[in-house]
Amino acid sequence: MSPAASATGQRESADDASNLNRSANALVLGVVVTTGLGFFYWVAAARLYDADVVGKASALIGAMTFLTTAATLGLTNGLVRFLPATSAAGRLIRNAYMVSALAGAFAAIVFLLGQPLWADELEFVRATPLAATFFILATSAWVIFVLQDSVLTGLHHARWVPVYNGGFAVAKLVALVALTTFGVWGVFVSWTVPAIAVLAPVNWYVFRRVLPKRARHRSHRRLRLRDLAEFAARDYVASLFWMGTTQLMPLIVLSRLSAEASATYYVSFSIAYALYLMTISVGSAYLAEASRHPTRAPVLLRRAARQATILVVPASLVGVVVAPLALSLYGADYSQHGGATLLRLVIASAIPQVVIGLTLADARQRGDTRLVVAVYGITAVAVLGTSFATIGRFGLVAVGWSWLLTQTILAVVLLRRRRVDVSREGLALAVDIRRQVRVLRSRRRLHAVTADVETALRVADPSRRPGTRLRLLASDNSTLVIDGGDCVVRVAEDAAATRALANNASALRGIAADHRLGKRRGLFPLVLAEHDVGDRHITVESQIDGTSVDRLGTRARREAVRRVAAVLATVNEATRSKVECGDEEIERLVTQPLARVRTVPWLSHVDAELAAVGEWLEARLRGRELVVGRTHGDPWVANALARESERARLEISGIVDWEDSSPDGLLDIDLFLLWFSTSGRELGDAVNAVLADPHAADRSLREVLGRTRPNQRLEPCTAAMLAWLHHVDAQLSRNSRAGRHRVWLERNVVAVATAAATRPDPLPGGHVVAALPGTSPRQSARAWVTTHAIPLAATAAAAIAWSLASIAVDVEAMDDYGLISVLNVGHAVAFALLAASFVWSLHRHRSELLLGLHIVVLVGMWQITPALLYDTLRYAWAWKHTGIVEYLLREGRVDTTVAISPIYHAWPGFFAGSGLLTEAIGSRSAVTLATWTPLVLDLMAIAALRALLRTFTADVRVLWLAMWLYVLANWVGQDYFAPQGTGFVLYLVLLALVLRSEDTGRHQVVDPAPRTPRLASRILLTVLALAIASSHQITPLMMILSIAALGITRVIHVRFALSVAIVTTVGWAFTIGRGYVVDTASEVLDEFGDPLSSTSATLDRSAFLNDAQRIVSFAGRLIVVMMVILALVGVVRQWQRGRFDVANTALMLAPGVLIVVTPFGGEVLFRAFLFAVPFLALAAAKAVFPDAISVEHRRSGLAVAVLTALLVPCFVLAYFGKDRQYSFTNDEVAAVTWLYEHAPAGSTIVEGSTNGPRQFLRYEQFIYVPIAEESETTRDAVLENPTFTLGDWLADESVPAVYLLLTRSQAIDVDSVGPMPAGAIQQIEDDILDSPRFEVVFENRDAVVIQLARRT
Amino acid sequence: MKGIRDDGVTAVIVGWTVVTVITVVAGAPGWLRVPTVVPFVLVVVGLGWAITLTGERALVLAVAIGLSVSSTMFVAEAMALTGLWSPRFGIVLLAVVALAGAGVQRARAPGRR
Repeated sequence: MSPAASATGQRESADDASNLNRSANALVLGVVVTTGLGFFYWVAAARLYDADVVGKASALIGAMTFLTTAATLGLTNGLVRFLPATSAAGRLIRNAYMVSALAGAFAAIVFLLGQPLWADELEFVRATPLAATFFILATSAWVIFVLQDSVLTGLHHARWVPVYNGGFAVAKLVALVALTTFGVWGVFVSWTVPAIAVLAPVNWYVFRRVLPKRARHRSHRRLRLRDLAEFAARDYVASLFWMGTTQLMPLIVLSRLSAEASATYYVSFSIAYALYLMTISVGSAYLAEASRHPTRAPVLLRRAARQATILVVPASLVGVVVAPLALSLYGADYSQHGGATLLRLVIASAIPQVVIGLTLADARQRGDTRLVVAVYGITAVAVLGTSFATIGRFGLVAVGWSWLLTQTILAVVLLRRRRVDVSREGLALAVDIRRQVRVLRSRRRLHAVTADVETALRVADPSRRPGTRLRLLASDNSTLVIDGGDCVVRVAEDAAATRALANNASALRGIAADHRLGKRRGLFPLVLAEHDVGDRHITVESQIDGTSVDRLGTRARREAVRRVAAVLATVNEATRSKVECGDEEIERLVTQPLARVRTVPWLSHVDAELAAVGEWLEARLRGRELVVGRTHGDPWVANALARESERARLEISGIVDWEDSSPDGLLDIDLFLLWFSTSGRELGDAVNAVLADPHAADRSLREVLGRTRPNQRLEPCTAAMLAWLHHVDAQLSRNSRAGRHRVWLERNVVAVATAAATRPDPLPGGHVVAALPGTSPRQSARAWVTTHAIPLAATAAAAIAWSLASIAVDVEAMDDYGLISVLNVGHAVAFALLAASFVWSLHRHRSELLLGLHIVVLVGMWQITPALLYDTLRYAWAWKHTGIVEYLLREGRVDTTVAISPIYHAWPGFFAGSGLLTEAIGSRSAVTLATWTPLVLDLMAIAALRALLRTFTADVRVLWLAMWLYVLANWVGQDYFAPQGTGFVLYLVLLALVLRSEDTGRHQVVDPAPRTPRLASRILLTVLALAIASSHQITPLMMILSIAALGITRVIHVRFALSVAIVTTVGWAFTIGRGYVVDTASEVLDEFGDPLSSTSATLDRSAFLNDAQRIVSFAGRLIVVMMVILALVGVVRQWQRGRFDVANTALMLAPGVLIVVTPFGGEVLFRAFLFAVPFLALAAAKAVFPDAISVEHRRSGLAVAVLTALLVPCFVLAYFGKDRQYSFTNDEVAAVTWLYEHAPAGSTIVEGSTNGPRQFLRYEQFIYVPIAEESETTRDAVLENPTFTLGDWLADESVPAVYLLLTRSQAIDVDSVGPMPAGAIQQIEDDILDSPRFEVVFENRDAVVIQLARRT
Repeated sequence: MKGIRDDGVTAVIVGWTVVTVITVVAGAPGWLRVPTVVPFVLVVVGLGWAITLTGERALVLAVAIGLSVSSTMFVAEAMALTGLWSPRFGIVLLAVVALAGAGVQRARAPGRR
């Protein structure tokens, strides 16, 4: 650098630093002015207005501020980052204002619509259209008011920020005084109208003064919208984390300690946050300056660090000393209970925050917004998590320590990271070294062959002058391509490369000599010389002008590809001939290339599949008439050159690299390889797509290349497989690196061989019937009968036999073993027929439709049977859930404050949807809908599961066996009329989408179909995540856990999916579900991390079971054990074969975390198994079929049969084993209906147990007292003297009426599963009926309703 | 989408949607409503969108179910939370969603400009 330049640079640095200081000081002053005058504003408001008015106004302003923060969409920092350098500042500002204002208006409208739900006290805000409109406009304007700080900072006019903020603060004080007669609206208008008034002058200044001047004096870069969107999106996520941290902490303090402690925390953090804001202001100023001058960022950062330290550290030290005094200004109580220590710790945490804040500002400047998200994410988890865990033991001080330690550790880590980023530097160094080594090695090789090349060039052109500069064009391990001036020199350095070059020369000579090609011959290089020097083979070719087609723009490239196909077709057509495919052709097209491929060591595990591919191709080709001719053999787009013609049109100037050419190759090969190379996919994916949908391949060839295949009589699959085999063989022969590159082999050879060997229309593997060409119609008919007619007939027979057998069932004869006790031989025969047909189909044909039909019939057997056999809706909880729908239809709304079951109102998705469906089908009760829900949910789950499991396996046998096992093993019965069933279906669809669209390549989606576009899949993902989050509580947790598990194992990119899952779940929980979350927070915290407490309840109940129910319980556990063992075997067998499925294993294990973290009592065990069972079933299916082609298919068939035989009785016992108590009679329903219709609102209903049709009508109007749920002492008291104890209960005069309801199913339930002794309900009923104190008010065969006898 | 005739699917969606809206709005008897409304709410609402957005045959049915169920829940939730409960209006809203999906799917079908 010259001295003059150096001096200029130093001067510019000083100017920048000065600008930085000025901006930072102005922004800090803005913070001080806003905070200080804001304090006076609220003091004045408290003196001038009623406390109630101030409370409502502050709540309204708080709501508006919250909505504004959500509506800025990450543009506050985005504007500061991108404005300094963009050439389109005006447009950027206008668009940012517009988008954010619209988002603000939208947020305000949503707020107004849901106001009764989340801010009942603010009903006045939507009382009139004018009020609502003003609130919407004020929110939109406030968003712009917030953003204009960033605009001025980004435009380097931050000095105006304290000025207009000061003006605004004074104006709002004046307005506050002037508007005292208007109550709440006076305060709100005084806050918002001055802000609206400030917008006009500030933005006039920006658009009329600053921007025109800036346009005249500066040249800026063009803004890429994508950069801004990406930056803003990530920064927005980070801001949501920060908002979550600051907003959730008071709630945690409230739930774990007290309201006073929460207030102390709020005040302490507000004081300390002023120090945080100082760092944030300096960071903003740095961001603006460094974005303007990125090269001077390090200097500016040091300057910013110095300034922030000078501002924050002394202020923090003073704050630590005077903390008790500061708190005492708010009241004596605030400095007690650890308040002063808390404030000291939080203030002290502002010192490490200097490091964090400025590091993040620097990260924003560099565009490393991932770091920003990560730091805020870690802060949220660490601060909330540690506070959560320790606040109960250490009190409020624990929160202070959480802040200080988290900030300190993060600061230390970031400081170390900034000094040496080992991984990045190391990686960069390694890449650089590798690149340099390659360049050096190629240069050395070029240097070594220079003399030989010169010799060859002289042979080609004796007049050539020696010493012409040689330039390396390309190289691989064994070939150098050199620019020799007006010719191209190719140098082969090993035998394979020599063969390839010789073939290239031979092909080109053949083409040059072939007069049938006419003028087209000019499109191919001429061989000028061929020369052997030592062990090197050198050819010299004429050079063709033009640009490689793969470097053209998208449209030009598309057009060029069609022209390349046309040129190749000309060559093909000119040289075509027909041959009958005999031994020689089979040897050349299939046997030889396949033999070479099978010698690769990494492919030994698919040798059987490769052999099958060979047999299959041979069977398809032999005896066929083939159209053959001159083929290029490697017509990918980089081997074609294009140029502009004299008429300015694109034309193909040449096609080079004829090393894989053949004079009598199959002509379809060129078309397929060209198409594959343009598809943008891996070869393996592209070939598999053809196998999956062969006819689509012909359509695509016509659409993309404008050609039809010459061998139309050959199936597209066969032609595509031959092209694949040809290409793989060429790659392995020419470049030894490909043979060692395991990933390439896995993706392009193993994937195709495996998929081809397991297609629905499979390759012959010794046991497959396939209608090969040449098969007679009679043989085809026999094959159809074997593969389709027999299973279809067997399935139909099974369904009919099951139906007939069910007619004979007497439900009343059911004993304690449940439904299995009344099933008969007909059922066993029907099921055996279905199972045999399934096993047959699995091994004989593998049509997905046929296999799917078996699963549908199986589900139908299970679910239609109880729906038809039982009098009424099965299962007490299903009745209870219909009660929520009944409430909704009666009231026309949900109520999150309802006393009984508010959780259903806070997550109302399922109930609201069911209500809509119920009324839409013309019913007023959801009971009918609920009766058929298990069937519908199971079928929907099958459809979703098929999509999900298809991402794991292309093997139809594994896929459908997994589905079969899933149906037989899913005994936990979560498919009844309940939110979790629907949530589970949505969860499966979501996982299928995530695995397909967000995979990292680690989970190879084996389905070769085209992928869902990323944007579309993300929209779908968001919709599904929101639906899950709004309808259930555990499913969203499982959604987060599964996505996180897939992310931790690096199966998918989790950023988007996990963010959406967390934001929707937390967002719903803390808005609509807020009341429930706050009310139950302490219970959740108490049970968090204590798996034994949550599961022991379920396990302990087994102590009360009778013998039959013990066996029922044991059957369920046996299924779990069998599935886990089978799944383990599957995992081990896959691992032994080098195919460990990390995604399936992660999803199998993830539900285990539920047991530890959720407090849903013993229920969680069932839920965990429910979420694990699809993946256990898949692993178990892989235990049966570990290889793509099973050589032990007879044993596999036997294994499926044995497994089915073991699972079915266990399933029927476990799933239907409690049906004696879960099925209810019409008489029971009639009695309960009578009671609910006649009992006055507020009545108490004493019941034997919770088992029965209950809470389905006016559910919220009664108090329920199930005797079985009372404490042991109370239960004993009831049993000891029912008339005395229950007489007391029924005499309660504090409620309008008290009823005793005893039913048949309550008695069965208590007899079967306790917790009272067998016969307890009957004993109570007998004693009560014998006593004159009671009278029966309703009675039928199965139920009785009793009241205390009226005194006469 | 490969393997499914786009015109046929569009016709099915539009036809089914129109019949569903008519049966619900006109207050047809329950036996007529069940076979039209249930498949509509569970599959048809999201079918057009599923075909347009996924492009994957394996996913279409699953995504159609997911979108239909989600849409039904969103519409019903919004009505329940705001106290503006009206099943007829809800079905009409779902019909708009279904027809929009069919329209987009039709517009993006190969060969159309």
